[in-house]
Amino acid sequence: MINTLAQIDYVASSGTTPWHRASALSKLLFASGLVLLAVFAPSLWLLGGLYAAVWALALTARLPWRLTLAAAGYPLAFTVLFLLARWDGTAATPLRLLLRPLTASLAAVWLVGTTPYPDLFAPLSRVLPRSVGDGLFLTYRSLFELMGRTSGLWRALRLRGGASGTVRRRLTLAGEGFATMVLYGFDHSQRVYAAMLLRGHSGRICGCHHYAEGSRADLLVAAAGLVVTAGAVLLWRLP
Amino acid sequence: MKPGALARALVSGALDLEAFALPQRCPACGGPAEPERSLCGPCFERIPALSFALCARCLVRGEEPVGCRRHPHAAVWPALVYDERAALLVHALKYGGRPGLADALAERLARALPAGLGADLVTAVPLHPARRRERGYNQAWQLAARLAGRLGVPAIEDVLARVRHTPAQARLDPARRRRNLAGAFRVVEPQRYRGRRVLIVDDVLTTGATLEACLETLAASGARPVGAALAWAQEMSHLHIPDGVLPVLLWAPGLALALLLVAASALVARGASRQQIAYQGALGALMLAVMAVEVPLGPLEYHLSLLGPVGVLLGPAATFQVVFVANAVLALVGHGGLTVVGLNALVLGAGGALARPVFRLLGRRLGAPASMAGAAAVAQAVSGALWLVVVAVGLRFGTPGAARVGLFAGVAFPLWLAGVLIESVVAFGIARFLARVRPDLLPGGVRPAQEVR
Repeated sequence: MINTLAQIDYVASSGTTPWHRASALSKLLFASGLVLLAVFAPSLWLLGGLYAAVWALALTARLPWRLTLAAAGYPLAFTVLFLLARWDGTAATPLRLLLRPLTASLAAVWLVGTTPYPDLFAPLSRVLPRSVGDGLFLTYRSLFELMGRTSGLWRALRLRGGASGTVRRRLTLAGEGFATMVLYGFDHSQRVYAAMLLRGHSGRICGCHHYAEGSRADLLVAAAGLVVTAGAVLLWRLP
Repeated sequence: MKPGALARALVSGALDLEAFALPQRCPACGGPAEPERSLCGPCFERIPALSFALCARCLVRGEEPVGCRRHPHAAVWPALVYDERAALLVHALKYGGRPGLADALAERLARALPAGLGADLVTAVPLHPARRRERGYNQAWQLAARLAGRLGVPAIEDVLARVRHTPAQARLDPARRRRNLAGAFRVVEPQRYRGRRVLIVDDVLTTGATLEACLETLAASGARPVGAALAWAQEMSHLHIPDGVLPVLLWAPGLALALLLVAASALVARGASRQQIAYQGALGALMLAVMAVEVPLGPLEYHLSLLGPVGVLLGPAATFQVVFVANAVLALVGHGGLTVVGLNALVLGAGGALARPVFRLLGRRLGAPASMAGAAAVAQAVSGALWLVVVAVGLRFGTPGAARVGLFAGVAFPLWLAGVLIESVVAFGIARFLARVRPDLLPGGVRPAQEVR
């Protein structure tokens, strides 16, 4: 996960396509619309068209296709299990069950891959309570460091005998290792808090308005929204 | 020349021209990059190095691959952890038309090998001719040839030949991986390598199946093989509920209820200091970070959540907020779903909210470690049971078609049971350590650790 997440984060910040230049708010609204359309669309043709359209969005945003495939393919494990449990002998039901989560997750990856996280979380933090909104920023901020440390800790445990002995001993040792991460997390939060105070934090993270600053690239998002809406109207009644 | 190959050659040429004309930036930090390494020096050196052997056979079977002594001919020495920087390099070497990167990478590979390896010759995992034509070169051979130069031994490219093309391994179970590669390789001149120490090189070690098949083929021909890989990539998977599989009548009320609970929890925790919010952020990040840790479980892997310990350390209101945030972050990167963030948060949050009351209840009689284990078991059991209930309801009332709840439960129940056991033992270790080192982080009212026998 760390590779996928880190690469998406990098692509979001370094990309220069019009999708990257569009405002976070317009992309958030567009992606939400795509997800809702994927969830509610009754027509297989529409779902197929939508999936192709979101792939077109991802590729024109120059998201590496292998990375996109890996990130947007995570729902497959659950979906396949669900699909087997719902198998009715037709091709339409499994196809619908597959296309819905894959399209929705691809739309989410397109959104995250074209929008740096401060811009993406800023509108969300405005509608969420302060502790949750700030929690989004602080969680994401700590994530990469803790992932690196956790991975190092796990490796060290395996190298220094933590992977030998009974399962109970191994897991207890792993637990003790994770307790050091809890301590690290606690100390880290104290440092982050001190840094926030030093930088003039006054009650809410990211009071900036970048996320709503429109540009000409937003016209492209609007045009894409229109195309998708027109396609949905045309294909809605097809089987 | 085919149009695709022509286009690739043109793009590669344009990239070379750009690299020649413009200063290159390190994709990891944005600083000036070193052309022969693609990254800047510090970023290149910061890729975590490995210096131990893995057993490719144990890796394929889902067993512990470190420290295996049962399969001496399946040892593979990986040089680097496949992190985001290593991924950039491998991607550039493999698909970006940058074989020159192999020089610097072979140097890292040489550093990872033990002094007494005693290789007589170096070779590479062969590519199928069609793939080789498409890519223009074999990236593993680029590494192997340069590694041989550093080790001062001959490099021979055609020790092994790939006799048929094989599909990707990633989504296959261990038995199918072995079947997929059975007979895929052959030794070209077996008598030439009999008794000789052959070092075989690949770029990335993921499932271990390819290198295992090569090592097995070489060993069967009488050679004494050993493997080396530039980087070790560990796999992971999740079972979060995604968008579009559950009916709207289930996820929409779930989302509404979760948002109401988020607002209520914010009201309950309105006096929380900013320090507390930062601590919540750190524990939320820890929950996400440990999800990348794989606990081998036969052919499957279990991914920890630390729901119980986080629930005990933060209390019900803050835990629900942390769980909501963690699910939102996961949904945004394609894990789980945006519409089902509410349901996923409710399922996990319900278990997490119970953890502290259970911890306090048990803490009157037991010590912190046992109480934490009990709290984690209850949290995981409740979350797992709710998850099964949600899916069962979704199967019954979702899209038309036969619903085999039993089939779903048959797969999910063993995972649920394993989750309860694993999470509680890990939680025991966490509390045992915290009770000794920082007991003030644990909620009060629990017997001190030294009183527990």
